[in-house]
Amino acid sequence: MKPEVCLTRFRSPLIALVALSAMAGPGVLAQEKPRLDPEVIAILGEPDPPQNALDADVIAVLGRPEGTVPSDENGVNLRATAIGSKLRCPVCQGVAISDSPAGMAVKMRGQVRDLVAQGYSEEQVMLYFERSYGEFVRLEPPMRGLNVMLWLLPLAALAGGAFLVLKKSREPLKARPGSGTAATAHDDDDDDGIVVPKAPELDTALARYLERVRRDSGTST
Amino acid sequence: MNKGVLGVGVVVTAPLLALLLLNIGRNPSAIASPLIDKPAPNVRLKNLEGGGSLQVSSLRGKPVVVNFWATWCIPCIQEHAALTQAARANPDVAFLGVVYEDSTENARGFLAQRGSAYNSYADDEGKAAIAFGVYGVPETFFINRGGTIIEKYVGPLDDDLLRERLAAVRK
Repeated sequence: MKPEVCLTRFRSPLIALVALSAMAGPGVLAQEKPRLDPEVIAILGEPDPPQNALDADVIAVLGRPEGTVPSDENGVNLRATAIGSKLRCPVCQGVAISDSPAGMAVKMRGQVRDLVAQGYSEEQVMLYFERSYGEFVRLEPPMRGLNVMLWLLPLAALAGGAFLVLKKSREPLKARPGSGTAATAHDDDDDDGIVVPKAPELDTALARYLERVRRDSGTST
Repeated sequence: MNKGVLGVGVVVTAPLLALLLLNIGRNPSAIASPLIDKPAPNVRLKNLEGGGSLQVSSLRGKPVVVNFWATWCIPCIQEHAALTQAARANPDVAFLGVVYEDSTENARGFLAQRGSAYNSYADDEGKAAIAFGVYGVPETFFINRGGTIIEKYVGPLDDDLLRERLAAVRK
């Protein structure tokens, strides 16, 4: 007996509903998932999920959204662009997906947009891409693990350089052994530690050269 | 020479030289997939023909080979015969093709012309490629019965390469 035929026999809609549920089995009123014919699945595959359903893979990686859903399209776009500027395009050379015209970058922007529209926070979106591409996908390496060195080493080098400059600037100027001036240099009478080579004590080779220059230029005395 | 300067030079250059020597022979463009030994992404793939789709997790319990390909990719065309042959010879392994950065029409035309022993799926929004961390094609992922990715192979596969990897993925 077909349900649509037999239901006309019931006077009350409530009785008809109860009768329908009894005929269809226990799942109808409880809104259970209807069983699919395996033959249909074999031909057509599983039916598409509802449009607003969260992606099973996203849920498996990130769990439920921890951010807020932007109030309008503009809000979604703004947040997605901001996140896209921090994600590296994997098929480009050091370019953010927000700046790349590559097909893969366009698709990644679409994925970012979908995640933002579902209420996933910026860090969750970054983590989703990091799961597949690794930390490489972040244009700014996060402050963790060995990356801390990337942030600290330049600062340490700067501090070390500043220390050396300060140290050198306070050090008294000393004659270096073996240099031309040092061989004949000596302290002047001042007691400030600065060594000033005197003119007559210049290197003899330099003096000879100077003499020749003066002679050739006619300024010799 | 100033011993201090020499010491600093050695300290700076020695680790760099060691790094260089350790990496000689490696492909500089190859980046190890963070998905190795991790669960395969549970993406939904749309059938290339007709409606419907396939959830990757529904294949749990059998070894899976996921091959990302495109009709514009010459190495993909080169490996197609080997993959088809392997799929025919190994019915216990689920082979999936995922079309990357290509139109459904192109893919259908290619498969109609060359034939295939396994299904290919569309990835118009690129979600499967993103979830698997694909950089280009061909890239093939080998997933064991437990749903764990055991290897990502970049480049065209041949009969020998497939035989070795299928033996490993069955373990």
